[in-house]
This record gives sequence, C-alpha cells and structure tokens, in this order.
Amino acid sequence: MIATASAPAPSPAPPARRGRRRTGGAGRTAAQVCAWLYALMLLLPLYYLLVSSFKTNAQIFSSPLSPPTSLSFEKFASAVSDARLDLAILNSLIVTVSSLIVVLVLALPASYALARADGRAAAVIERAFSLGFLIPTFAALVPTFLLAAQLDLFHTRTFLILFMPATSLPLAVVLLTQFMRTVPLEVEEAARMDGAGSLTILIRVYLPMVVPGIATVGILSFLTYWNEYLYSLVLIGPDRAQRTIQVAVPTLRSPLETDFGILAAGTVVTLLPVYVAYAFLQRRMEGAMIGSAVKI
Amino acid sequence: MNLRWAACCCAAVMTLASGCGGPLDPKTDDPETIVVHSRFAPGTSGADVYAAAVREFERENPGTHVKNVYSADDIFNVFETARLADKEADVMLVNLYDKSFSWTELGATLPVNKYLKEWNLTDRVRPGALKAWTDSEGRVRGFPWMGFNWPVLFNTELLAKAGIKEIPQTLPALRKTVKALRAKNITPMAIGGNDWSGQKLLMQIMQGYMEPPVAKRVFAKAGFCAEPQAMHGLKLFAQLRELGLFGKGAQGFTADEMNAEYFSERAAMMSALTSTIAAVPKGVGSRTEVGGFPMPEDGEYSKPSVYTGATSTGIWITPNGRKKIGKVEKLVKFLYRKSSVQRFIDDSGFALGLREQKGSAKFPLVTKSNRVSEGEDVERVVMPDSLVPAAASAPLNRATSIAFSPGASPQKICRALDVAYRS
Repeated sequence: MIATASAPAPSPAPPARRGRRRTGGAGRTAAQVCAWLYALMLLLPLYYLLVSSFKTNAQIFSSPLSPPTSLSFEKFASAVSDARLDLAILNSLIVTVSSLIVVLVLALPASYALARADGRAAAVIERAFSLGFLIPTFAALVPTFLLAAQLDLFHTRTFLILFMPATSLPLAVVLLTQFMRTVPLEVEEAARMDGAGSLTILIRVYLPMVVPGIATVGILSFLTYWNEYLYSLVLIGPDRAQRTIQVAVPTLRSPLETDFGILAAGTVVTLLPVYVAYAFLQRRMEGAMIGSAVKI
Repeated sequence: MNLRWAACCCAAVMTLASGCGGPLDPKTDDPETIVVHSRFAPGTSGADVYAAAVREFERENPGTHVKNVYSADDIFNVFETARLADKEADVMLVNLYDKSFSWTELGATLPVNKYLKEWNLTDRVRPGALKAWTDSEGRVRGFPWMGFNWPVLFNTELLAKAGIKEIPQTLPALRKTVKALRAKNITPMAIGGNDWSGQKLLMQIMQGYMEPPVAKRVFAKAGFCAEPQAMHGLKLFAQLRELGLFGKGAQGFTADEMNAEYFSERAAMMSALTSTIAAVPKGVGSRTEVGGFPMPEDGEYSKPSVYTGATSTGIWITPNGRKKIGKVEKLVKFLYRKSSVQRFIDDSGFALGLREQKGSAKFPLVTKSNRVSEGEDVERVVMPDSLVPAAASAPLNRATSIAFSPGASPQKICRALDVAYRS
C-alpha cells in the first residue's frame, strides 16, 4: 500500500516539472541570446575602433570589420606624439579629478543637510537643485563664456574646474540625498550622544555608509567631465599645454586628408582611462544599484 | 586613519593647485613670443616643413620664440571666440573661406595693405593672389601665401583596362569613357558627394553652360532655379550622374572616401586639390595623368576646365599681433623669403601664390598639375568659395548630397541649392 501509494505519486509530477523546465529553459536561452546580442552591439564599435587602429585608410574603407594584417603600434605612437595626447591626458586628469573633488566637497554636506532637514525650506531647496536638470547645456555657453572673459579666466583650466562641478551638482545632490536618507536616524542620535558634532557625524558615520552612492556620483561625474568637449574647446582653447584630451583628439583629423588609423588609435587612448575608472568603481556602483533595486 | 585623511587632503590640494596653475608647457606667452594659430598640427600635410621653418626662424632670431597652437575644422570658431575675449593668437595661418571673409571688415584682423608696402613685400605677391585677398573696399585681408590648383586626375592603367587610350577631353569622350569603365566594373569617378569636394565638382559641371558673370551672380546670391543657364548646367550634371559617372553611394561619401577610392585604384578619375595630389601614392602617381573636366561643346568653355585659386592659406595679423608687430614683421618676411617658399614647394608639394618659384622635384605630379592648370590646354572656371556667403557654405554641402543622389532631378537640385542660401 505504501509502495502503491508512493509509487504512483511521483509519476504525474515529472511531466509537469519537465514542462516548466522546458519553458524556463527556452526563456532563459532567449534572454541569454538577447543579452549576448546587446553585448555584441556594444562591443562592435569598440572592435571597429581597435582594428582600425592597425589599418591604413584603404583597408578601413574597403573592409572595415576585417581583422588587421599587422599589429604594429605605430599609429598609437603617432597619435600620442602628433596630438601630444600625453599632455592632454594629464590636463584631462587634472580637470576631471579637481572637478570631482570640488563637486564632492560641495555635494556631500549639502546632501547631508537636506537628508536630515524636514522643514519646508529644505524641500524647496531640494526641488531647486532638481531644477538644475532643466537647463540645457548649450544654452549656458554664451553667458559662461562671457563670465570667463570677465573673470580673466578665459583659456585657463581653472575656470573649467570651477564651472563643471556646477553642471553636475544637481544630480550629485539629488542622488546623495537619497542615499543619506537610508542611513537610520538612530545611528546619528547615538553618535550625538557620544558627543560627535555634525561634521564628525558626516565624516565618521555617513560617509562610510554611503560609499556606494559616492561611487555612483563619482563614476557618473567622471564620465561627464572626461567626455566634455564643447565647453573645454571654447573655454580652454587650442593651446596644447592646457587642452583636454577631447579637444586634442579631433586635431588628428584634417579637413583635407585624415589618417583614420591614427584617429582611431587616438580615440582608443581616450577610452582607456574611462575603462580604468569604471573597473575601479564598478563593484561599488553595481552594489549601489542592486541595493536600490532591493529596497524598491 | 588620520594619516590616510591627511594624505587624501594633500593629494586633493595638490591636484587643485596644479589645475589652477599655469600650463604644463614651459613655453608660455610672453612679449618675446609670437603665438601662431594654424592647421599645421603635427601629422597633417606640410606640418613637418612648417615645424622645420619655425625652428630655423627661431635660430635666426635668438630670443624670439614661436608658440604654435593648432585647431582642425573648428579653427574659425576657436579664433572668433578667442578674439571676443581679446585672447586671440598674434598671427593666423588660415584660408580665406567661410567666416574668415568677414574678419577684416569686422576688425577681427588687420588689413595688411600698409605692411605690404612698408615691408617691401608687394612685389613678391602674384597679382592674381593679391586680387583674391583684397575685399571690395580695397583692404588686403592677409598676406597671400599658399594657393591651389584643382584639376582632374586620370588613372591611365584603369582607363587602358577599359580600352581607353587617351584621357577624355570632350563630353562625348567622357561619356564613352564612363560606359567603357562601367562595362569593366570600374568606378569612373571618385567623389565626396556629401562635402566640399562634391560641391565644387557640382558647380564646375554646372558652369558648363554658365557665363562667368552669371555664375558669379548666382553663386553669390542664389536663384539657381530662376537662372536658365544654371538649370541647363544642372541638367548636364544629372545626365552624367545617371550615366554612372560616380560610384555607388557617392551622395554619402566625403573627400576621405574619395581619396581612398582613387588611391587604392578602385576609381579611374578624381577631381583633386593640390594638397590631395601631393598625397597620391607614388605608384598610383606614376600611372596618373592630369587634365581638366570635359565641358560641353555648345557651352561657355571650349576646353576642359579646372579651378585655380590663391586663397588656401594666408598670413593674417590680429589686433594682438599689432602689439608685437616688429616680431611679426620678421616672421612674415621669413615666410615670404624665396628659400622658405621653395622649401614648402619642394618638401610639402604646396602651391604658393608668390613669384619666382620652381616646381618640386619630389612631387612631380603636383608640378605637372600646376603646369596643366596654369597652361593653355584648360580653362579656369569661377571658383565659388570667394562668392558663396559664409552662412550658406555648410548648408550647401547638404544640398550637394541631394544632387549626387540617384534620380534627383535638376529642379530638385536647384531647390535644394536655393534653400541652402536661405538657411
């Protein structure tokens, strides 16, 4: 009886399980195919850039996606020496890192204050920061240029270092405020009972707990600053000693005759620091995103 | 912990300090430095020769330094922005085209009439070049320096493969050549239908039926659809396009693709500017013949046509340059010197708008193209660049793309051209 009772019981189950597994497997395969296709779509331009860096113009135009016939790094060397990409990378790093420091120094205390304030004024200020998203970048170009000229900071990196944090401050404040709101109030109260002041609480309590948020703001701001072209071109100008990499690379293009291999190599060089930064901050940023998703 | 924070703070302060500090290049501006803004960025055509010339100038003038800044396509905008902030370079080496036509009139650059006389340089300039650089008020906008010729290159080996023994000089011969090349699956003519290269060829073919004064008026003020001579020329262009003169997808190509097609011997003909001719690979150059574009027998020109001009690069003096005029004088005189001019011709293949120069032995194709372009076997058509308003230059390139699109009627092309002038 036990045998009869137990024997037939598993028999109907397997078909159902097999069916479910089949459906899930097909869905998973489709999802994987889509993910791979998407990854390929993202990788294709990178692949094109990379292989073009080893080719002549004739090879680039006749067979754009074929692998290169030689792996000489001559075009990379030409790109670096012709456009002084070494100086340009250094300039870009100075501008980007300095701007990052300024934006974090300003955004962290502001976000802490907004996260912990519950008055009407705080809500208005927070919304005012959100309004910053509504200003189109291009619309601010002429007034910004006039300001730089008036301050006698035109054709200097200094102005860009002061200006770029202003453009990304709204996003940084809005993001960091949300992160800081996730810190339990009790932790802050405990710190205050131990005699900690607001600055100590921000540095010792909040900063370690919102590192994923800082990483998110850091990587987003880094990408914005590093890839910025229009303002860098207009405000810093063409001087090799000061220009950023995004301004330097287009000089590899000539209106009459361009070596696209050298141009591609120069572009690859500009991408490298972005990948390095992303590789450093990737886990923190993904952690922050997953954390937000779980909370939702 | 405190040590780590202190290290972070130090690094931050140092980064900020370096950001606010001066340029990384020790060659900063000073009264002994002439700042020159040009397109001679290292790696571009003629850059090595220019750099060598600058080094020689500095050797000859101890204590005087030349600081070079470079821009590419954006050179006009970069100069104008810098001028507004009173931070422009002292000298500009740039072509007379697009926005630069209005610089002298607006006071962004100085008229050089006075300096040409005072520095005894007037006799060095060819009269045609001087005329090209002079505006309607008699102001010479800049010191004429480099010029150009714009003939047509023919790959004789590809023509021979199609059974054509001589380069086409007449329109029936061109039609026969196109058909023969098509039969052998060879692209007859490479062109960048989406940029200036295509625009020039379109206007060159159009001029087949346009009297020079009419061409000048239409290029300056538009009215292509209303001008029967222009419409006749556009009809000829559309016929040649439908015959298969241009390669597949020409309407999307730029000059770079055009060059690649001709340089890799996939196309048998190309309309080429002097600097492009200098870049033709030696092997291809040895199989290249130079001529003009065949014109209709019932049209305005009895011989094949070419463009020539003296507006490639001029030496402009800016208001900041006036403050260092003594040093600028030395530089201009140096660049005008026979030996300097000949060096540019010999080593870069440039055409210069100055007197007493010999052809380049290193660039035989350029020398040949200069001889053909300035000779009796071709006629010179009106160069549109000095007539087309600056605001219409970029929109005209878009209209050109329509002209090179298969099936586009003369009416459609003329409408696109007229719209470009209203943009």
